Amino acid sequence: MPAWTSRDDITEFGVSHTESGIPVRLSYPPGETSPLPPPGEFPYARGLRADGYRTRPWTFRQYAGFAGGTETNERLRYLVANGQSGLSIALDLPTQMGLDSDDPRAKYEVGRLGVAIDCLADMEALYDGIPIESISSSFTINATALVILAFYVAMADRRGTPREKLSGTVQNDMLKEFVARGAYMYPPAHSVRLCTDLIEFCVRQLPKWNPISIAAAHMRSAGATPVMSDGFMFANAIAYCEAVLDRGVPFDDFAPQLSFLTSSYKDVFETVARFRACRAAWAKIARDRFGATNPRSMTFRVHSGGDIDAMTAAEPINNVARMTLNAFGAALGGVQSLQVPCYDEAYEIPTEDAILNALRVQQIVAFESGVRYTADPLAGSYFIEALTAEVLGQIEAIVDEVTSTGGAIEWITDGRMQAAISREARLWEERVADGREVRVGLNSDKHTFQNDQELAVHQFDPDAVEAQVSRLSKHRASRDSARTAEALGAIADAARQDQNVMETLVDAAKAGATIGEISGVFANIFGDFSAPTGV
Amino acid sequence: MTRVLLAKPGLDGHDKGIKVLATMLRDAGCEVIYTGLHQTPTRIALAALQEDVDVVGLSMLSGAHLELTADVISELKAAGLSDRPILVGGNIPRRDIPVLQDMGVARVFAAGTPYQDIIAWFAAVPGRAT
Repeated sequence: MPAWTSRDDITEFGVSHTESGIPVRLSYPPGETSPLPPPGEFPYARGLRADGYRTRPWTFRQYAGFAGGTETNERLRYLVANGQSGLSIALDLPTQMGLDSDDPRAKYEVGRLGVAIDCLADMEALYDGIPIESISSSFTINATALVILAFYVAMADRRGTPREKLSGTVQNDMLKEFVARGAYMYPPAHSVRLCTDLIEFCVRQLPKWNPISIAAAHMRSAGATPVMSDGFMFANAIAYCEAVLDRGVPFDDFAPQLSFLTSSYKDVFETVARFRACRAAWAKIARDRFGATNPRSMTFRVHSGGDIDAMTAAEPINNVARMTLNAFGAALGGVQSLQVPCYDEAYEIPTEDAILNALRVQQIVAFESGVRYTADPLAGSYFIEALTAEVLGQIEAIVDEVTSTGGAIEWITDGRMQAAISREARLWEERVADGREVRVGLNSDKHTFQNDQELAVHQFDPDAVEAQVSRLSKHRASRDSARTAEALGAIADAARQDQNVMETLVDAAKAGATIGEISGVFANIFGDFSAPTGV
Repeated sequence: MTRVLLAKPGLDGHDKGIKVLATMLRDAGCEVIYTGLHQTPTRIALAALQEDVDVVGLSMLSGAHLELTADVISELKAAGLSDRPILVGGNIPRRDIPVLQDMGVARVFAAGTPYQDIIAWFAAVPGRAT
């Protein structure tokens, strides 16, 4: 087993070993690591900006979405009114899987875990009264990222907002969907081709848009250790970069727009070391592997998605302490954007009270804790510096192993990445079972599950689903069907001829095409896929 | 040897729990068939029939567990498998546990249940295919 996989004989996680299983010494002597270059300088381990968070804190970006565009619009406005500085849209599973709200396969799941977006009109309802030229939006969307971006761009065109003013992110990271999270539709090669079309379109048309958020967090949720998830994230990033380079787009033209998603976890020190190590790892990959010369191509811009799996259903109010440490770790680590999980996360998607509390936790950390005094506040700690070096070494070992044995796409297609992650998932569960991973209020014998309180949780609204389906049916009846069909035909032509499909999708959005219809075009051409499970 | 079908109905892609369970059940001596993601109730019943399993385990974290479980139960019945016990796991609120049991679900294991308890339950299901 390589050094970056866990050993199963560690007895004291959180005491003698970090969350990723890195051994920790009783104390660290001075002089073992040389000082890193200052914040704002290559390799950016100490931060992307010389002034840290002095000018402004990270972006407060809580994840929100349920029912239809109108219901979610109200929630977004509520968050902005309470000081949220960026939007993060949760889309329902049918939207993520390219199914219209009236598709039989979407039954029961419309508007449940996110907002249902079937067509341009739904996107317009979602953003009613929200100034898209001045607030950024992040969409957790992958297999249908092109469709969602097409709806967004079509909305901007209709509003008269110049495309170059649009700022935001689509996750658009299909590779990790095959190893974690599972929202994939087409085979890996076709999926990467669509990701690449979107990246290329943004490089030419949407300079302030992050066309991909290359994600570690979901692999962590699937069982990978935090450090392993970071390593696989970079292996995937390299695969995307190679795909874009194959289009003839120079690295320095697209790399400044790449963004990343890896999260702050319960181990605050390892979290800080990981964000520092990730910045250095990416800067070195960009410069040494891809020959970047533009410093902006070397900057690891990251959103921290929060340690959702640490939230317990038992004694849910305790989760607020976990959330606070989570936000504090991310801030010490120097992230650009942050979501913290909500205290009711183990039950349902958050209530309005729970999401406001999560936003308040971010604001308390940003405005009351002093974390913004100075860039990279833990720099120079013998422990943090040693841990940063160790994590960086492990990340580089993972990247070397994957890239020298076929690369990420091969590892995912034959299931090697899934198998490595499943093994860690199993080891973690065994540690929870025998108490080596303490979860207070859940498995520690001094704090058994006593307070089984019933929380007021989010209530799914079946009426909102009916309204969504009925809006969709009116939309189908009222549009110019011949124009819609023609637009869908243009997508098929571009897809078959290996042309960039993005602009045909924007046209189709304006012609009233739905997400299910557009995805159906791709499904007919690309076919479907079932990923190896790794077990 | 108990033959177990583990399945993910609906569109939810979270399968860490069901995959860990699959490996643990194999270690405990069960024969485990895992369907993979995005299964319709009809396909789950078909897999149960073809594999002639003793027990069916469903995992759902999407919130649609009541509706999807009801559909799986009726498909299993249509396939002549109404005697096979069904287990439901995942993100199941406490209030829904009696509802699922009234539908005919033999056992519900909500998130946070120790794996030992789940393995012990499966081990007690009598294997027929001997």
